[in-house]
Amino acid sequence: MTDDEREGMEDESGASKRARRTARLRRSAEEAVMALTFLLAVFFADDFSDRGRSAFAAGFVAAAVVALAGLFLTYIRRYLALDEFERQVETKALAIAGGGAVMFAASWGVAEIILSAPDFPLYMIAPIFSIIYMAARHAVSSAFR
Amino acid sequence: MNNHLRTLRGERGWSQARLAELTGVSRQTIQALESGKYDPSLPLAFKLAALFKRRIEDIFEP
Repeated sequence: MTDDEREGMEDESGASKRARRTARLRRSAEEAVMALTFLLAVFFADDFSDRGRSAFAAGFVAAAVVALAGLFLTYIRRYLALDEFERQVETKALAIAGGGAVMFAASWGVAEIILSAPDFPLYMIAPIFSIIYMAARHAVSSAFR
Repeated sequence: MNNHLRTLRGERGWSQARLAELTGVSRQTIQALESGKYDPSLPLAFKLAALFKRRIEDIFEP
């Protein structure tokens, strides 16, 4: 923690700190549950599809779509609650993550065509985007410290 | 952009968290402003000027 950060924390009341921490934990828990639901739904949809039980597979596909939409809406809600500086950090991180994910998918696509690389499962775009986004967010916010 | 936010805040004995509370932004925003790595929007600059009872150009320098 830098001196600036330590100084800023000093006067913050315990109740306010606890409230912010609780809100952050709740948001993270919501996002983690939806991300896990998405991955599990994809896994079960694939499994049921392999066993020829397409009705179950369709149900899990629907669950995956709902979980992904839920994640997206949670993010939009969070984004709208940010102040101008935090939005700037988020927007830059999103731009980097979007560009990174597109570049990764396009590169893999070229490798598939030219080098006969294995098929890339498109649903993996979401986790890949998330990983790049987290790294980009950390790098962008560090640049302002 | 340089600014005198840290000095003005210090004169009033406010922490970054307190200033953030008064201006309705996060502490990280105040930290970024004070370090000169982030330039505020006009509405935020006006809010800070009103809070410190100074003109914007007395707080921020190009």
